[in-house]
Amino acid sequence: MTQRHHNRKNPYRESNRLLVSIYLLLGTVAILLPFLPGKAAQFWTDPAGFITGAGQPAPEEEELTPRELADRMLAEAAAQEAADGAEDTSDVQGTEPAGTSSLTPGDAEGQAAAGDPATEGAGEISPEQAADPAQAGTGEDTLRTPDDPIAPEPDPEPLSMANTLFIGDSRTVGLFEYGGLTETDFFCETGLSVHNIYKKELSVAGSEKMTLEQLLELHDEVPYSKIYIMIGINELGTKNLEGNIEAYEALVKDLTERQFGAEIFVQANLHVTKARSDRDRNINNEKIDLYNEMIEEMAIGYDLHYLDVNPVFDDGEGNLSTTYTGGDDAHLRAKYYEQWVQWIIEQTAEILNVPLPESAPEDAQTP
Amino acid sequence: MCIFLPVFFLLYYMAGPRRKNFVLLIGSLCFYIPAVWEYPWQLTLLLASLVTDFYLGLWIYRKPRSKNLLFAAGLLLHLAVLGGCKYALGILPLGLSFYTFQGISYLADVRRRKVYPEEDLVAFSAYYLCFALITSGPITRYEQIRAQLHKRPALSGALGKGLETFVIGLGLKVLLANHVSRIWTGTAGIGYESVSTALAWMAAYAYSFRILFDFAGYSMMAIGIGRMLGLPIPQNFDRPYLSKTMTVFWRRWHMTLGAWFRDYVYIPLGGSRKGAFRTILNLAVVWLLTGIWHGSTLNFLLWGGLLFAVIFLEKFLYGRFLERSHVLGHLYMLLLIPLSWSVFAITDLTELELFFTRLFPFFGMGPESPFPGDWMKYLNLYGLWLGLCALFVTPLPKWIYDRLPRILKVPVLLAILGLSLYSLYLGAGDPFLYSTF
Repeated sequence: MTQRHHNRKNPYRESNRLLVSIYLLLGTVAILLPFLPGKAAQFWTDPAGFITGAGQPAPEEEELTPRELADRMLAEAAAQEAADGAEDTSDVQGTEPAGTSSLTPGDAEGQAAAGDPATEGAGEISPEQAADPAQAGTGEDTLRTPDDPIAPEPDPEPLSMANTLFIGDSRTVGLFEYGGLTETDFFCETGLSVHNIYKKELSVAGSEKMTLEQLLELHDEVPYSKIYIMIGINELGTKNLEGNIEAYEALVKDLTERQFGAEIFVQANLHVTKARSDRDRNINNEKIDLYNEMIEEMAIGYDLHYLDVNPVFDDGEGNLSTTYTGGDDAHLRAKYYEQWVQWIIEQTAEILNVPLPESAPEDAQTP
Repeated sequence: MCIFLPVFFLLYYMAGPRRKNFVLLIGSLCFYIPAVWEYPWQLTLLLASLVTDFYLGLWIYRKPRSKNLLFAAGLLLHLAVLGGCKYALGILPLGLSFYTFQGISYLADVRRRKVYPEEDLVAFSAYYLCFALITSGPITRYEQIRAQLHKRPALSGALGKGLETFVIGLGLKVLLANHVSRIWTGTAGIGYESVSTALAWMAAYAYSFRILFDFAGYSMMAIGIGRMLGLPIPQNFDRPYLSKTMTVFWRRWHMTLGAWFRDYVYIPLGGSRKGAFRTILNLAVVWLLTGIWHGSTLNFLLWGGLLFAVIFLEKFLYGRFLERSHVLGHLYMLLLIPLSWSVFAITDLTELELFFTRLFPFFGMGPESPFPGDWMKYLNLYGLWLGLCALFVTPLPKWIYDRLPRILKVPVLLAILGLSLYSLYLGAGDPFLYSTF
């Protein structure tokens, strides 16, 4: 290098200094931003709101129509009642095996062999009785206490999952693929919602593709004994929860009319993880809970059973616990679907007042 | 983005020669600032790093007696910031790994007299902040673009060629990488304990495709933009999956990173010129550093170590044999590529072990998959994309494309662009994979 370079002044000196000062300004502002109080801070964090004069940054909640607001308040009140009532019945689930202790394994086998699963659900317990709205208004399995003298005698036939139909979206697909229910029919697909369910053509139990209508027609003569439905997560993207619940009602009405005698179990939608819930404006646990409440109310209105598996897999704060997920923020790891199925079986057995199936590992009676 | 790019390029092309750097500088800030809106301190960090490197560069040049001290100070500062953020705090400011390495290369080159330092902060900022480079590279050295930074070549054909490269890169990333990645994420979501061996292998290959097309696609987009700007951004990928040894693979994968480690770590340590033992040591250092550059969890260290072991064996045992083989080398890599990427992809070591018991179910560990048809389901859903990925690993598509008359190239590019935008619209958009490094 030449002497010239050492002594020569930088021709860009001026512009360099100017630029450095601009950088200094930018950098300082950037550092200080989080500490600016009040309105000034809002300019930076919510410029659109600031400009449109919206005042406070808009909260992340969806806008509720008056109907939705009223429904929500109703549901909250009902849930409050249920919470008061459910506390005494929470023991019931714990002592549930005691309810079947009168049955010896020998009896169960003898009866199961002869039993026609189709009549089991339509036996002594009618849908009205099983879902008595007078009892705590949730429709959850708060129907029977061990001491209730009016409870009908348990149907000696154990619960079977044959002649049963599951309808649902990707979570139900998980139940299908990993739940271990080999005798059950599944009408489910990722992306299924109340708005597209009648248009879907799906293969059921290895059959050719058919629509839901065709499937129900096939089972016209001998209706399903139990139908489980879990839908809702995919239509949360559409803002109108009211439209969703209307379509859901139409589906449920159709099913009750066409599958006479079937026990219908409506399942609450499974939560998503906290991470997903925090970042997704549509699919978050607040909205899921709201929709689930509406579904529950609808279930009560139609005398259906309502199951909510969320407490089993929740993290204690109303989110799906990451213990049960494998990196997917909306679905369980495959190995937990069996657990979910087991829970469904137990809940069903309790609601319908029938003994658990022979092969259930929880059945402490079998040696 | 759709508004930013056209406006930016309009202003850029209208600007005179010196103004172009200024427009690029402003444009890059307009890109970076919204990107770090939630964490504005990252901007401060970037600007501080920029200004420090700029003045250190000038001082190193003007005070040759203190050059080692100044260089050491700069190097230590960079490493402290990178190490502190990434490993101690577990936060990664946008682009940190890349502009840190670019900065170190600048100081090192100035110290070695490979290049004169930049006197014009505007030009230097344009290079440092360049939005095409800052997110995920390619790691471009100052001396590679210095000439063009000061004087752009005639840009007449640049727009066309640049757009071509950009669109193809976009297609690779959005159409190939994003779709095939669902096999991997689906498998992870199921949980490796419940996945069949066939699906596990399929997922490993899917990840290998995904990471290739994601990163190579992104690099092509950057190179394309560079062309449109008149800046020769270096190539980052050269059909790496056609390599026959891991050694060659890493000269064709993320080439700018490999070159950086070679020129600024391996060779200064003595390379292979100080005897076998020293060579091995130098290799180990380079590969462990490569591992930790990619991530702070243990699996990356394991990955780096694994690569070192393989390259060591190749160098001293069977490398030359594989290179000269026709098929064996390819078969060898056909196994090693998905296996090494699996170690890279799974950060939890227990999960990693689980995954490997699925890949190699010879030891009776792990249950059978409860859903034996799982791989068929994924094949039905994504088989097309897997096939396309395999096709695009080969030189065939490019061979065909190069021979198309110009008239046909345009609709092909438009189709790729259209499909990509549609795919993004459908919500398949993923963040750039390598921007988490």
